[in-house]
Amino acid sequence: MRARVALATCALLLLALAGVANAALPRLSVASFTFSADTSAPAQEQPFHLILDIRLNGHVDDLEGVVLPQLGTLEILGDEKHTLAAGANTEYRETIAVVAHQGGAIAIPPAYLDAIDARDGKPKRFLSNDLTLHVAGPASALAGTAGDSKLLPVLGFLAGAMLIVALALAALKLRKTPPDVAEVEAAPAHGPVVAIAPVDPPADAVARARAHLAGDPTREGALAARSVLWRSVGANDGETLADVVRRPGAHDPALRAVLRALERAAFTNDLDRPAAIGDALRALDGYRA
Amino acid sequence: MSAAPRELLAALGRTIVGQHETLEALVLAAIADGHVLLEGPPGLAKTLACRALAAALDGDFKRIQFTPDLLPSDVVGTRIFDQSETAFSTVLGPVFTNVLLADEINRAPAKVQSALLEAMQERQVTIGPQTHPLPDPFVVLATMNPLDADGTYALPLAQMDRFLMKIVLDYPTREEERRILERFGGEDVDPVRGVASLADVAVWRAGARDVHADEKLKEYVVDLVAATRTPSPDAAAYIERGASPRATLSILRLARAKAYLESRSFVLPDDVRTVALPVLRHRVAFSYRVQAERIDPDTLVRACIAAVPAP
Repeated sequence: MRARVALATCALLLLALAGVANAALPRLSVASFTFSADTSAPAQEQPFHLILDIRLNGHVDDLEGVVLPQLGTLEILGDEKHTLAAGANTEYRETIAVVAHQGGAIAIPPAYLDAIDARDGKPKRFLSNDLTLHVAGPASALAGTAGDSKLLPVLGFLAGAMLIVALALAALKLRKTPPDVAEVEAAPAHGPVVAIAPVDPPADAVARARAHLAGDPTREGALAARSVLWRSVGANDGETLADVVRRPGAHDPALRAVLRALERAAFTNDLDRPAAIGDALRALDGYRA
Repeated sequence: MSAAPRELLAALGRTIVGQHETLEALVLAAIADGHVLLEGPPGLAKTLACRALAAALDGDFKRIQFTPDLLPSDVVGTRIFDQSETAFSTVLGPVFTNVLLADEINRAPAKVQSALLEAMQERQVTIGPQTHPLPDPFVVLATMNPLDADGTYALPLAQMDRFLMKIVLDYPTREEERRILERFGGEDVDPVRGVASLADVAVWRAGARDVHADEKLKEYVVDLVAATRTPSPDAAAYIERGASPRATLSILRLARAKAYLESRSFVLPDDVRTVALPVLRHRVAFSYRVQAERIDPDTLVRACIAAVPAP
């Protein structure tokens, strides 16, 4: 009975917090929201960076309310935020310096941002991609050994409690205007809003893109190869090349050359297309080499 | 061997500090055979930019300061009676030039604006019984000052539609302002002359017309303009009417010009998205709520553009 009362109290508290948070939601048009690391295989006790990139349509002076996920066993060394005007848009970048004290896989859930979507006026939760890192070194306590499985319920309870505290803090921070009754709708990953997680390292993606293009040396093949590479750096199909090359995963000049070659192969005229596809294949081969 | 449009852009950059978007717009207007509406506070080198364009093209430049007492004949010309010849002779107005700066176009009454806008559209002027073709190229760069609205005559939407694009100028950065002091703080700076010829402009226009636009990109252009006509429920309260089919044509024309400027024979999605805002921002009719709630209209147009996924 006591447990039920406690559960109901928690639910009421969460609903109240959601209502308060919604009251002060900023009105944003989120074009992309990505979560990445400057290395996919960090070493134990070697600091590295987690990077949150949010691209907003229009000018926003300051972006608040970005909620970082639980970073598991990573220790946070520092956190730096920048909001920059990029032409007609706004780029928000948050760089979190972290260090791993344990080896093994670390799964980090998505970061999120609650806002009124300026495109349809609905309150939404914009999610980034999630992130899985493989820390070189001995297996992590969270990696799941037989002995550790006993700790999981305890850790789950602690993580839940921390999440409630984080939500309460975020809601208090956002509380500026009288509460509204609209309910925050958790937006699923869709359209150009939420980026697709980098699913494989670029080298693998390049190999798959090459296979697509070599197997179907047409405009459709070029579009398919382009799509594979874009997804590998966390971009969506609805973006443009200018968006893609701004992503942290596409900073490599060689990869950019491949992306540009595929862009030409996809959009050039029919007379130039065979040459453009040949150039794109050579660029893909050059990148793999 | 004709000069490349990039050389023209570089020459303008040697005269004007910063304002890259404006300079590129001037070059794109020359390539795409269109006119540009420049909106920004005074003192941002709008006149110098137009003068620099005319000088770099070895063309004529004229400026008309629009005032409430201006007459259509002050723009297009008039017929006067020549007593020595005992006949009427025609005096051509300042509109007969290659680059025309129509300064503060919204300060003149509607009939003067109409006289200029008809000339822009028809590329010819009728004075009395005679019709006179305008020089080729003929580029009108019209300015509007957004700060002093008193005593102005707002351009009707149908007339704004005649402008290929509208560029909003902003103040230079601190670093650019320092460079302006260094470049213009001493003696007068003459614009770079003769980088390209008027014949080169004709070559560029033909080249830009041949730039390939993929079917997917044409669909994208149509979707972008359609997005202004059927905005999201949230934006619908602020948008009364979307852009016209002339906007559809203009986006594609400018996207081709941009590809040509960047020495490409094909249009990319980035070209379309880049030119969409300057083409659409003055063609969408906004409701009173935009003014009442002090909303930047550009944010609404940007939202329409962002709602359409690029191919």
